[in-house]
Amino acid sequence: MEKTKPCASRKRLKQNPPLVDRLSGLSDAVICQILSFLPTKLSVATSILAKRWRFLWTHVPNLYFDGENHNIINRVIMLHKVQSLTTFRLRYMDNCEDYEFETWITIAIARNVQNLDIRLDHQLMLPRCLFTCKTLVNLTLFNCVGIPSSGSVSLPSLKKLDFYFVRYQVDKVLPRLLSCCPVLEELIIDGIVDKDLVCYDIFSPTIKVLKVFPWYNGLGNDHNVEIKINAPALRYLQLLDCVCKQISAQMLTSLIQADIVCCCFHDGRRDYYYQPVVKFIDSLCNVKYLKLRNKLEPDADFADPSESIRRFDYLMKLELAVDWRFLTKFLERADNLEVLIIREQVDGSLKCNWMKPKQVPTCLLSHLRTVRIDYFECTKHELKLVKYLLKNAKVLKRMEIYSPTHGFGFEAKFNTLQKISLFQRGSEACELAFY
Amino acid sequence: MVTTDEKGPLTAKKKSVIIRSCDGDEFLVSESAAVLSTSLKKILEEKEDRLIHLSDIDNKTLAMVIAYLSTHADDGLSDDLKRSFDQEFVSGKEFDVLKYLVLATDTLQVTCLCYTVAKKMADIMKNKLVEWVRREFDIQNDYTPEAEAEIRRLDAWAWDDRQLEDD
Repeated sequence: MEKTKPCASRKRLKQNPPLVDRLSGLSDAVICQILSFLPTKLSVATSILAKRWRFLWTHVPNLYFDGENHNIINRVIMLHKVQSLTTFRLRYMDNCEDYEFETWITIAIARNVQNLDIRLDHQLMLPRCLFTCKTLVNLTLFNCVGIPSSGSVSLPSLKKLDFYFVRYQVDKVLPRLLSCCPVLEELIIDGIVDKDLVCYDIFSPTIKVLKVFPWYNGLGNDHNVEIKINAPALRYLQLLDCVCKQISAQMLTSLIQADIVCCCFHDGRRDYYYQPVVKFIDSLCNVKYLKLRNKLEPDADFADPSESIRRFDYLMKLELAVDWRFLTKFLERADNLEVLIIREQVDGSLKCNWMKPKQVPTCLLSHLRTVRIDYFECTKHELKLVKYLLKNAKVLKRMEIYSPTHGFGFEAKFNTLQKISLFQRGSEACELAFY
Repeated sequence: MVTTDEKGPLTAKKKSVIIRSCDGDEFLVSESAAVLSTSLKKILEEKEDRLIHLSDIDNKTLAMVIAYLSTHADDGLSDDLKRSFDQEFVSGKEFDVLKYLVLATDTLQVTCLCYTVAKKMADIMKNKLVEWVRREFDIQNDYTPEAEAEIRRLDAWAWDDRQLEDD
């Protein structure tokens, strides 16, 4: 559709007509809309303004509690008249009885709540009726218990599920819960692993966004976490602190963007990766934008990241903070790569694994336009890489190099720049920026 | 007078409507933009007339509303772009301007614009005093001092950290 851009009259420059202040003429619906963005406490406070405002707050479709005590919450909920509750948010620090908490949630559900956001300071048991709520669209739980492992679960409208520090039997409960959310689009699991063996079995034909951040209890059983993903509609995947040994993914056919932290072991000379982790990275082969980072671990089985044969045909933007063997691998297999960013690594010493590809990769000949290298310390290996890229990247437009902010003086910077600027360039149009 | 931009002659071929502000300025708007307003949609359904006169919206406010409607009717823009347009639309606007806008959205019934403007007004209200809200919202305090004291006593918790507190 073509845009019709209106513009004000050019002919006459007029003043606004003398303003009769008409906000008093606003409809109750609009006033309630304004109040719906205020914490419930402030919305109740507007009852002091005038008689008309005395109970306007009771028609506001949202309830936001933040630290009020249980008597106040009880009073507000009893006075509140809305039959279709949009959002019920409870940030609760006080002590209340389980039955009170259960009453609040039950009332919210009876009032057809769509967004439920519960963040507790001390753990309370979630009522079962929560898990058969027909109207719930977004559910955020923080520090709760009681995700049912048996009995009926049905969340037919749920689109977004956020779990933060929710304790439940992951192995048993998660697959069941996901299978009862037929329209789920976004899943965030930010949780504690406190068992010997935990398997996150994430199977959903509908989720588009998945973020998993397993945290660890420091009991030394970190490696017993297993993650299995089967999500054919997934478009965005974020796996942070993913130090597990066992990770696998299937059917990531719709994936566009991924941000992965993978574990490795570093012995001073090179990095070692778990075989499943390297294989997992291969299963991301449909991504357009990939960010890959390392997390160092005390031990790991050997697997060479360059062994794999998968191609990354759609990859356009790659951000790496991992062993440079991955770099060689991606250059050789991502023919359409346009932007390459090399970030600072956990301990900087992984740069020594740069190995020239056997022949000049296709992406360098036809697609790679931008390269950015962070934390450039001017080592032999770094210079080799820069030299290789400048020489062989035929359509490169810009190379940016950032030196460390500390311990790298003006003179060293100047010498490095001088050295690099003398390197042969495969692309005449290439600009070189050194910071 | 009908004002259009350079694309005027082209867009005029499309189905469009002329909207006149209370001070007589006329704006050419595509029908797809106009119908985002529930009130305008109703008017257009009821009569064939392509000229709609709005007796209580001034030209400045109407120009803003129409810019908003046209952007939201543009199928070529992603939802993300529309969201950032919304933010940009209200950012830095004075409460006075928002007042006109919210009244216009109340008249025209534009749900998404009402949401955006109401949110911005709520943000401004958050740290204001009772007297400020009464003044800006044109509210006459019709409580007796005793009644007001009674409310303050009953819901004392709502004023305990001096938000929306009296001067």
